[in-house]
Amino acid sequence: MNNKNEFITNSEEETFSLAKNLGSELIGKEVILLIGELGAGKTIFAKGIASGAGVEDVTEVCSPSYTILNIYEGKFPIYHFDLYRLSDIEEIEDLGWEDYIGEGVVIIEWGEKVSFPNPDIKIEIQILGNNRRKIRIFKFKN
Amino acid sequence: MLILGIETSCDETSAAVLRNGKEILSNVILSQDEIHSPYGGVVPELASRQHIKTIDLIVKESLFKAKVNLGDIDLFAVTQGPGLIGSLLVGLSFVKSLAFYFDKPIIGVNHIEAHIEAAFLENPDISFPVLALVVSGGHTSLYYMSKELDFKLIGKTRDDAAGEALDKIAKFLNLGYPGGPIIDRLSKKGNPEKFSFSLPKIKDKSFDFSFSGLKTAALKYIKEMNIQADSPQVYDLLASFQDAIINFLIENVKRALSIYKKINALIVCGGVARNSRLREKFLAFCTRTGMPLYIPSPRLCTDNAAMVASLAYKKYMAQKKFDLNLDAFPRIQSAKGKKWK
Repeated sequence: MNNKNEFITNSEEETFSLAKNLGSELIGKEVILLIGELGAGKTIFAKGIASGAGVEDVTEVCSPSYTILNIYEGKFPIYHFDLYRLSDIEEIEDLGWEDYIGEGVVIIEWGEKVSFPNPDIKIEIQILGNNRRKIRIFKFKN
Repeated sequence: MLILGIETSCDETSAAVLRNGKEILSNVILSQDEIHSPYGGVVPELASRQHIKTIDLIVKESLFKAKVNLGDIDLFAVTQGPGLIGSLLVGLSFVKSLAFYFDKPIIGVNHIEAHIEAAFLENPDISFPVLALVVSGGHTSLYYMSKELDFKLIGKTRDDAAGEALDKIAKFLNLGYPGGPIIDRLSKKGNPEKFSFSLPKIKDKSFDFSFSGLKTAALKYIKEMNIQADSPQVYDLLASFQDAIINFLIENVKRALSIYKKINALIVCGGVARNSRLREKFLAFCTRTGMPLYIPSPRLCTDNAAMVASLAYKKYMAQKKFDLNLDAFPRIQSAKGKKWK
């Protein structure tokens, strides 16, 4: 563990701008795990990261639960995975997500379903109330 | 002209043979709902690998049912996107190799546009301009069509798709899979006005959709009232939640109809268009407003290759050319007219 930060946000907008700050600091090769229960705001956080990383039209950033992978073009490619529908490790391995590592930023929702050897950033979102969220950002030095 | 269509963009593996783009000779669909299909075994929830295992069987079955041989096919059709890239590539590579071997044309189509085509396949005389709502597990998109093949995307979801929001709530309550049809069934026992949901507000003037707010509101009720699959309130909650989603779809369509004047018909299609409450409410809305409504039959609402073959036929007749260098497009085209990424 190299760096941990904890934030409280009170609205979707605040969550978005926190994520946007993080997105603007990326170099374009990070693997980011997004962890949080249904409705926590993982997709909003992904939108923020994409916005900070130069994706102009963030309405394009939507939940990849069905498509499993969405790709956006920012300052670098952003590979937005969602493992929600996948149940076993074999299905997850079938995705070939490791092919994308190093090619751009890889964002993985429901990332806790598989043990990624070296995530660079891990985001945990916890629901505190209506729109209130506790967001913990862990940065690892690999 | 005989067309072989193949669809592998998500969970379903499907192959269909059409004559002249109109007459369906076969439309074979292998989905999770058909786990006990002749090919047996469990079909995993997702699977490019599953598509690889089943595609040749499905194609053979479609040719057998249509009583034609592969060599008789005049045009090959395939879904290019959007969808899961690995799954799309299975269908694309399969069809490309056939087209190359038999030296026949190949046409790629957009999966969402093909859903709209399903309505034209059953009702060739729908009059333009048309407003088309595609609503499924993975997509919620609104299109304006001034004429045939002219698909203009005017709205899409900014977070979850409508079917996805239904499935996620069903999964959270452990109701089983697929969640949409289960909620449809259970909602019939509930009062849709028992729980209030405020409809999402899209701040700009687009016709975009958003369902994650409704999903989060439903989750809040579930947690605060400790609602479980066997709780007495579950029917009312599901009925109210389902109605909120449908009302939002109708509101957006209503707004589009007020901006795009002179619309002659409304098409509602895609997997969620099988939902009985959605059909009922859209029918009531269209009856009230005098708008002709076309919803494809349930088998053509689900992901299927007949719609792919039909759309490819129209495209081929319009452009008379093709390209073997087709590639997969995993993403939906942006409403602002940006090209595929």
